Amino acid sequence: MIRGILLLLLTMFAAPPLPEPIEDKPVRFEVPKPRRAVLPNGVVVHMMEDRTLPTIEISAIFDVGTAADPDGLGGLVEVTAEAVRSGGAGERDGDSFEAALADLAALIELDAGVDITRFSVWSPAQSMGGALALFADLLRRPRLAGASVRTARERRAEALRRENDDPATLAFREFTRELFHDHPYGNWPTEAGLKKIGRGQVREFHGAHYGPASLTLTAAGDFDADELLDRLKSLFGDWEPDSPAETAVSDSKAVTGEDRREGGAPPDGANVTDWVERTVVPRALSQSTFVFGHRGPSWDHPDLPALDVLLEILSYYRYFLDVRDNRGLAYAAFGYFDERRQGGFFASFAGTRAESTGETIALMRRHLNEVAAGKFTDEEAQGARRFVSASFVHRFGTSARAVREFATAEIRGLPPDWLTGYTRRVEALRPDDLRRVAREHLHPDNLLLVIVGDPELIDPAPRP
Amino acid sequence: MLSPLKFRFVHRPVIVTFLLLAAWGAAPAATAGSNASSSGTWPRLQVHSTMLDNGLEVLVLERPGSPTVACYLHFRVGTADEGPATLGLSHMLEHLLFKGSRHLNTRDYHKEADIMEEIDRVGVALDRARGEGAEEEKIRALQAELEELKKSQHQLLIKDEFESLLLRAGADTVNGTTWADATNYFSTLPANQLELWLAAMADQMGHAVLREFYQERDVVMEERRLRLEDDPQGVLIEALTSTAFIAHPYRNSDWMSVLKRLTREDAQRHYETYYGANNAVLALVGDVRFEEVLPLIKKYMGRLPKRPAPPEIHIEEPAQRGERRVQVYFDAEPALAIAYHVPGLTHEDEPALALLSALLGGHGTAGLFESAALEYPEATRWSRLYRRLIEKQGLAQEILMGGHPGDRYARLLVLLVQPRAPHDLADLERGVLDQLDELKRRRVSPEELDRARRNLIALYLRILERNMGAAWMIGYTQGVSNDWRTLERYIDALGTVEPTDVQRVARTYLREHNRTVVWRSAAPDRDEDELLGGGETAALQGKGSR
Repeated sequence: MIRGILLLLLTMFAAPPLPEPIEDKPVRFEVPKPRRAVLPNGVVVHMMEDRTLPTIEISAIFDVGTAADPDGLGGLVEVTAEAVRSGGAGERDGDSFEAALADLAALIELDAGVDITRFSVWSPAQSMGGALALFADLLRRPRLAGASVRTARERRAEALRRENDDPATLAFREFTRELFHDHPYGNWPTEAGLKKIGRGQVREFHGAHYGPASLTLTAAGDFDADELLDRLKSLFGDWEPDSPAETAVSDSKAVTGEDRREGGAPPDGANVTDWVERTVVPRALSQSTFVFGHRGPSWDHPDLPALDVLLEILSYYRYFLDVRDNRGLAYAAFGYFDERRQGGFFASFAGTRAESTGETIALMRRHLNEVAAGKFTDEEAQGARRFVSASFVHRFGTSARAVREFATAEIRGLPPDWLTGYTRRVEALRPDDLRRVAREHLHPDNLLLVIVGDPELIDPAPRP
Repeated sequence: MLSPLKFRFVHRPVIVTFLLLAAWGAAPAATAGSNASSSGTWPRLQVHSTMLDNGLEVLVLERPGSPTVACYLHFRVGTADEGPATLGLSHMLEHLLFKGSRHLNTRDYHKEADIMEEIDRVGVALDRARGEGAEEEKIRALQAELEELKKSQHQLLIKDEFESLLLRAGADTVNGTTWADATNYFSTLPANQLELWLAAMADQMGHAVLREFYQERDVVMEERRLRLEDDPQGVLIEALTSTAFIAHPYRNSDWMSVLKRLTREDAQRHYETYYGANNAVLALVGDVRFEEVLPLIKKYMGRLPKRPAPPEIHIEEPAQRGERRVQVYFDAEPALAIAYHVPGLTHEDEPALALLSALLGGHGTAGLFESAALEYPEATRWSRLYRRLIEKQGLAQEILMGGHPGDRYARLLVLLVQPRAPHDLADLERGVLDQLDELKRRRVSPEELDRARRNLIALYLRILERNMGAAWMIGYTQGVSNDWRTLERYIDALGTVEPTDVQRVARTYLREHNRTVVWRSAAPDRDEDELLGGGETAALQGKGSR
């Protein structure tokens, strides 16, 4: 197909004909292999030297995320992470820690996800020695002072209020809360819960969850791997668990097999064949923003490559080309699979003018029905497979990103050849394989729908 | 926690009309890279540059070992180049230039051209009927006729052939953005697919057919609703820009009332005026060799037409003679914008202003590549406003500072701030202005200035790591200043700024009569019925003149 397009392009060029056709070149790319090492206390390190620029990035990935929020203390994971980041460490208070970091032109970033929390330090290579020492201090000896806990808690409360201002954030928040109403993934902070979080809870949580048993390190950039490994050993290798309570989230908030079932139990009172319709915080906006979907498999499921291809069919060939391009109904319309340890979710998302809400939802659901039933063309399957396979290279676009891919794959418990064999798996998928996976994993009759918008303008009522 | 900002808005032209909007919304993809040797922290970039016979400026930065090549094509046309009847055309064109050419996306261009003429005729009649409040029956008849014509055209289309060609070759995205000074198109591909990108992009840009105009106009209107009308930050920024500028076209926005009357003929005229090779910059960064790719660039991009020089903008914003103050009502948590007029990117005061901005808010002032820095919000933690207003006083939730809306002409230095309850906008404004006053009163220490300098340069280095970041930095700088080396001179000049320079520019520009302030808050309940709809500027209480 692609060769045909190329020939068309080349033969129809208006200006002088091209001297030779462009080859239909396969993507030339080999997955890089980082070095893997293990510190004396069992902490795994993935390292990749890269001399392109005189910079280094080191990440500490903790196997704990917001799903570990205790009941009644929603937001504790995020508040703890922010208090660690902002409150100073060792001998330095927050101000002097930030000043020391800034004097090295170094940057420490924080990302608290649902299943894992990542801290990263980046700096020019020449100042990494000092930056890494600060980083280790921050992770191992955070001060967690009362003022920093209070600030972190108050900022999370303010952010909670401001989530209501962004329709997409609001729609996804309400969608996940409802979808995982019986599971820790449905946790969300509340103002009341945040008020209960004090220094004691934060210190306790940090002691229980931040330690070598839940830690993976990655490093990428302008360094000598042997030297860096020695440095990491001296900074992290003697870190022993503070308490036997240190454990991963999956143990502390284990869920039942029933909960983990795909497309799990619908919200109370809903028939599985119905839409669960809900308009969240009616807003006088010109556009409606909506999400519909259901639970999906866990982040180590062997069907993930096939699901990536199916999502490309849905997102590109159906939602983008038809909902947006053909009909001009939306600017953003896409399908999404959120990969999570204990089962993620499929979602279809769009924003459309309020008056076309019903039309757009019905159209997108029709496409979802077709894809779930395997009613897609071989051309769509082939094109989506090619997109997914050819664009895999971008997961390795920087060495820091590449090395994190390997760390994440190991944390997820994926097979050792998961990354090196990914494109081979994708390219081996036949349309019938995709149809089997679609039937098994997509459940268009069991959807939760959340709309943010103006109920007086949403017309007609979005029903199947 | 779950963040929709991390979700993929795949494969799509995107407008980022406002730099600062991008910061609190979806920031555009960005990247960088260099194989150059290091000179201090900042590496000297070994950029190969040349100009083709048709006037296209070409920049290539080799980065062996990278698996990809970032391709960035920049046209010197943006919202500032639009007039009252053409507002939104640059953005419309950006969308339409993914719709294929005479060769791509069509089965029979000549048949299609006849249908498009009919679509134009009916589309214009329909817009006029709607505008004149014609009878519903007439409008419905025209709508039905237009839909039939669209269906006829659809039969002749190969949907998204141009874009899927590149996606199949491994493009991470096939995307574009429209800014005040520029429209750019970018993809990162596996390094061995460069020739395909050059061939397809040259065909698209040189032989564009602005098909499916009315469908895409609807998409652009949806984008406006998403980013400006229903977005609290968009509402704030649009009010700020249109208030702070009274003469210069940096005040432009793609107002819905104009968008819905734009025609394909307008877009074609805009295309023929601004899309000459001699009004464009091509930047490539990745695993490519200049001597190997130059023949390919000439072969394909050398065919882009050279056009007469586009109109220049001569309007200068007159000196502001008093503070301008606006209250915007919108159903959202409150926020505040404070802006001062400052010069453009190449002005001699720019390095001191950039460091002033970094000292206060952690980010510099240079527009487009600064937007990539906004992907690193953690880079602001050391700055004065963060330490004092967020950490110490608890007045603010978020602070964002930077240049807006462009770089080519004199623009604004903007502070966007959100109060943290129980503090209100008045508390916060006072707190911010106190900090600005202190910078005027008390000279910054050499140590603090040096910290700002090191961190600003480090931030740019961070952007440079990704191939596309580097492509944006050199390509955009070439586009707005006509010389990519402005970037290096800029970095060098940061090293020469003294504490007295920062104090001087603070006293020169951060003055009350040069200030515009916008408060955004929910409408007071008692006045709700009397107020305009969400997002409208409901009151203007100028203390000085406009």
